[in-house]
Amino acid sequence: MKKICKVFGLGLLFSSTVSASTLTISAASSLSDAFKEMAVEFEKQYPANRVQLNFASSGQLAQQILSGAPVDVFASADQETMNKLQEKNLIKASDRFNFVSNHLVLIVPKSSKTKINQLPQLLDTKYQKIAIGLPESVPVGRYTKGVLEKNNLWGSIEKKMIRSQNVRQVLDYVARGEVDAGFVYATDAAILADKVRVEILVPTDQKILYPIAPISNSSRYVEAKQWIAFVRSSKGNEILSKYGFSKP
Amino acid sequence: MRWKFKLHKKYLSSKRHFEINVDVQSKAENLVLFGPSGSGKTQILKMLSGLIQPDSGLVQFNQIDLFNSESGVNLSPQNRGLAYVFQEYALFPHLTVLQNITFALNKSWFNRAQHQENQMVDDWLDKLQLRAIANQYPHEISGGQSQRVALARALMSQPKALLLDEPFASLDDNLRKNLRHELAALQKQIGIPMILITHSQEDVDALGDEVFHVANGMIVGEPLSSN
Amino acid sequence: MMLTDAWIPLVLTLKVAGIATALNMVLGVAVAYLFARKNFLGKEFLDAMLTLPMVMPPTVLGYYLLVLLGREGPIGAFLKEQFDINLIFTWQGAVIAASIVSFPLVFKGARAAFESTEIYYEQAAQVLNVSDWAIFLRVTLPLAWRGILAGVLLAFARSAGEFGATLMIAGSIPGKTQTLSIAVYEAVQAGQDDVANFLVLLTSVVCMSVLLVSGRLAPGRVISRNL
Repeated sequence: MKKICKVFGLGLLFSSTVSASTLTISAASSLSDAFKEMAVEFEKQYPANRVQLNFASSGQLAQQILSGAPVDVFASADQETMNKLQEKNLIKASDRFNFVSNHLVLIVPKSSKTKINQLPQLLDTKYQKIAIGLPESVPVGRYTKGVLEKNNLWGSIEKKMIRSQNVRQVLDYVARGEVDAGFVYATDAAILADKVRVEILVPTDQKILYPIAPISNSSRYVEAKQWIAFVRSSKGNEILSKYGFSKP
Repeated sequence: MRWKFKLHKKYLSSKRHFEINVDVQSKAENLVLFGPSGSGKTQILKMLSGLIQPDSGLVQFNQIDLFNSESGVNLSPQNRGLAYVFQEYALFPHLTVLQNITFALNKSWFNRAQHQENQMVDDWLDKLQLRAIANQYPHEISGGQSQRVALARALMSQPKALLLDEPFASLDDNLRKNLRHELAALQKQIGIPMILITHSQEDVDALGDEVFHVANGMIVGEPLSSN
Repeated sequence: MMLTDAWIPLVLTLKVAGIATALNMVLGVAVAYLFARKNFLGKEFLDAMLTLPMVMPPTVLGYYLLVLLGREGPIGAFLKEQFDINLIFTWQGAVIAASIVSFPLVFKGARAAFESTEIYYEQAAQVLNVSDWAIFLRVTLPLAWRGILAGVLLAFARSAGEFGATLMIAGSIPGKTQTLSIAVYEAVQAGQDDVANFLVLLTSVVCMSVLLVSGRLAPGRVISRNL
């Protein structure tokens, strides 16, 4: 359990080119493409720094950090996960910023012939399998559950649920046609626009805001703040909006 | 003609080139193939029983084809009616002496628990003095006893003929002498024709009605008859 | 998940691993026997292909299976059209993933066991006019079962622990495809340490039981005292 995370942490420590200024950034899966491009630009601007990216569901990343993984920056897809770290003083409230917002969407495979206008339509027997992120540890899954519970749909849809380890897995299942529909972020749907179709822009109770913060006991605290500053700069925003992220 | 066989088989390996080419006809009750080790005697016997396939040839017993490469006849070892006593005895290590002996009588898919089957079994147990060890396992009995168990097992299938591969090879001189006499006496009693292969002259003297010399995969010279 | 639901993945894991192992026992032993006793063109190449799932990273294997068995894959589309069967996200899919990764363990174990069994036991049974099936069940299997069992137990353990390939094609549906390994993984991700601890304890108990049972079935070594 914690030991697995510690071992992973050690692995992270010894992997690839670990120089004095290699920044380890743990970021939610939905940020994969944007942050990869961001890293290239960052390294151009600060040649002394190297960036190492680690993508997974926010919940999984948080567990790693809680178990002592040597991460320098954490970018989560929801407030709740970041709160967990703040509770344990792994991040300082004053260092924390919301840097983008996103939207929840319902997607179907491009080849799907049916049209969904309202969420209750998902109760129809036409829709046997619906991919959703794990509500316990994947933010997009938590948002989805929240919306469905509010609409009194959660109980019936739960049995059709295909639980996925992160938002990109949901996207993949829909793109492959293995499921009838799935809940992802608008930014993920845009990545595979040729394979999936957005049916509903799902309104959430609260705006989906992504927080980012340096880990307080990081040995590269200064560089971590440099990265965050870069993310929040106009160059960083340019890259993020290119991938469909909105201002916070 | 009791036995008629023509066998041809080439063995190709990087180490040596070996060919078996024999042509034998015999009316003898006890046929002996006599020759040094490596001369191919065991291969010949295995081809007669169907355990090895010759490249071409003929195996006939009492004018019936058991194998004929021209006409395509190739009876499986099960159907040739020839019992075989292996040089290593090949007693089933996981079965008792009694279960080994009665193996041929049990056609089912399961090894039955040991108990006496019938009169024939009783007879053989006594004739070959195996009653005392009936419930022992092969690793618990002596070489001489193993040989007798192998013999009893072979005879239990009521074969038309018996093939024996160096039956006394791993036994000491005294034991050999006794068992040789026993086999000769047994053979006279039950009257089943035998083919015996051996490299021991004494075996030939005691048991061979007609002896063929085998060397390098071929029959050498004319067969010797003791009659 | 709730702590009280923790036994569900255990039952599912035993079911999936049990069926996968049973399938492999039949298939693996049959194929192994063929390889042990017959020679044919491309045998060793085919052996390598059959062993591949054992060395391939499970996620790579899972990906191949997803591509093949998915709705748009060659096999998946065929199954959907002809039989209206979809294997993705089903426990049957989990069984397939588990069987494929553990097949080489039974195959290799059984092949080695058969090859180390002297062929003359089977030959002796043949000349005793016992059918080939009876020979396999009464002679071959009883002599090779220990090696086969070792392979089968490893296969069971491997099936029970299967994670990567299973996650890819069977997903993680509680009660249907969420096996013990996946349940532990998700509990850790969600910070549910108490659930994770309990699941790990359950898994350890299962593994220990398998080892203890295998210890009783396999032959005990004779411990020599003060020679």
